Amino acid sequence: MNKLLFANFARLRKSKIFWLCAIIMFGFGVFLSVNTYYDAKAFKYKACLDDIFFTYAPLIGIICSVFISLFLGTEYSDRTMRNKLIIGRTRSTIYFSNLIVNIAATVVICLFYIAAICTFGIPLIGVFQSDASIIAEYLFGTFMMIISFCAIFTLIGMLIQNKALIAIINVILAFALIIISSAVIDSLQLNVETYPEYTHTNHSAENDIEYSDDGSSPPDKFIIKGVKLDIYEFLIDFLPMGQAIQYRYRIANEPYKMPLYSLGITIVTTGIGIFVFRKKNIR
Amino acid sequence: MSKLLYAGIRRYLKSIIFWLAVIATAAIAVYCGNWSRNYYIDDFYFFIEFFAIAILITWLIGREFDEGIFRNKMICGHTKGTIFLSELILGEINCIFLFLIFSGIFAAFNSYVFSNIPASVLIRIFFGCLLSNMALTAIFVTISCIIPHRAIIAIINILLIFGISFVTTSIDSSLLNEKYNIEYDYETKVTIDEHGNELTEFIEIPGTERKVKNPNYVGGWKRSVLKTAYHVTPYSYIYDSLERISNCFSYNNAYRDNGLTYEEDPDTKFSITKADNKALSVDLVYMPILTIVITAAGYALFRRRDFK
Repeated sequence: MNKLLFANFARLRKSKIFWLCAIIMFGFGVFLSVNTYYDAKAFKYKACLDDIFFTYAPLIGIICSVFISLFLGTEYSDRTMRNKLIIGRTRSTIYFSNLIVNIAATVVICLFYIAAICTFGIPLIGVFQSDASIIAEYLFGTFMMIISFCAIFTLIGMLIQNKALIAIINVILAFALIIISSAVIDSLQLNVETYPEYTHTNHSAENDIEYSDDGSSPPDKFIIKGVKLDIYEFLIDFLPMGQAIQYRYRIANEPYKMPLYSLGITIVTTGIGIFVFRKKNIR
Repeated sequence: MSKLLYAGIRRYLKSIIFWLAVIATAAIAVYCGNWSRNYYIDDFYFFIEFFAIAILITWLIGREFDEGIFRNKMICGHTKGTIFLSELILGEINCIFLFLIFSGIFAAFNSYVFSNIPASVLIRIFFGCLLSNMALTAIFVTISCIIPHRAIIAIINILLIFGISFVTTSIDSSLLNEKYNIEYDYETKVTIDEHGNELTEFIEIPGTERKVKNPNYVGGWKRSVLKTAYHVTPYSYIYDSLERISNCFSYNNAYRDNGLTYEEDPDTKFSITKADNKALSVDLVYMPILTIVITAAGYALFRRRDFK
């Protein structure tokens, strides 16, 4: 395992795509800090670091999908995977070593963003306004979310032997997760604004009564309630991109749940990945 | 050229990815048609078709690099220019085919809307959206013919779809900023509700209304550049067109005074301003220009490419 990890980290250090992703995230951090500073100046409002610090959360999902597709894809296209097996490495060790390197690389890419925010954001915007405990909780949550993203994309990258297909599936999956999560969050936000009686945050005995301002029943198709509401609320906490959007806008109702879901996703996807990978016929 | 096209069509028809793209487009068209009939029309529908085209082109042209088919074609005596043009024509045929499947199914689900919109408007929107799709296809084909790595082509093409959408909506929101904002002075009113909570209200003071320059307003030459850039993006025509006809879909039934949907209300007629009507025709020009420019650039770059 150690030798595999060492070799993978050596490859990572030389990987152009890794450095490109890191530079993109650093550049994004600088852009966001400067842009927020000028916006706050133009519109005369007090910006705080909290507003931009967790913006990396949704973006890292896309960056992670691109990086893992290209980094893992070469394992099959360059026959590295077969060579590792020939020299006697077990399939589980290969899977774990790739997962660990992917997680480490994605966390480092994230740290580039955080470094940019700390270098440019703190002097221009100032420090955090939220409690340190909340920041720490969100930071932990986002890192758990990154691990779950890596586990999903590594699963796809290890099971499909075609580099282009891995790229297509991973990138589309990342965007599909964004679209589904934003659609669910938008529906819930609209629900809260239009029909506040049908929200769990404002749970009351009236929850099951249909009424509107003029006393008539609102059109059913526009309301999210009952089991559908439960499913929607579960989805935004469970899906990694739903978590990312909640961290980004700091709208998480129950932030302690999300790292647990991330852990669950990581365990299940890695378990499935290792099980299928061990039975896979590698060309 | 005809031999290349014939071979290409046979290759497409035998490709499982092509048939998957056709099935996916048809299935999504059913879903989108049904959704827009019951809820609202969303410009996002076109993304799914863009994805289908992007993946299909990436897969099939990427294979030409991977398996050395480009080189084989050149050995057979076809020029690089002819090869590029044949790939472009094949891509455009696929794009038209997928677009017709999508729009046909979508129109069948929402026939009540389209029967209320004048034919001249509908035809222009149809051709505008088709030309936008074709321009995007030209971009995909050009990228796929220039970059020899299929995985990188796939990532670039898919990210490009979102990139174009992001750029279009960003420019649109920049252009929508008014030159002046209206500001008021406010007085603060604190009340205590029945639960003892303190509620703060900010109430506008009458007569304090004043115009304040909007710092986000884009004027002068920058505005002209942004407007041109907006019209040149392949997504802008679709974005504008759907905005113009979105009122005809069911979504607005929630806000209608009489509580009827567009379908149910016999008095509601489609209306379009003179400026919008003119824009529907004028904006049609940008997409063919973009397609020609992209094709010319792709043709020149492909001819200079060195094939291993």
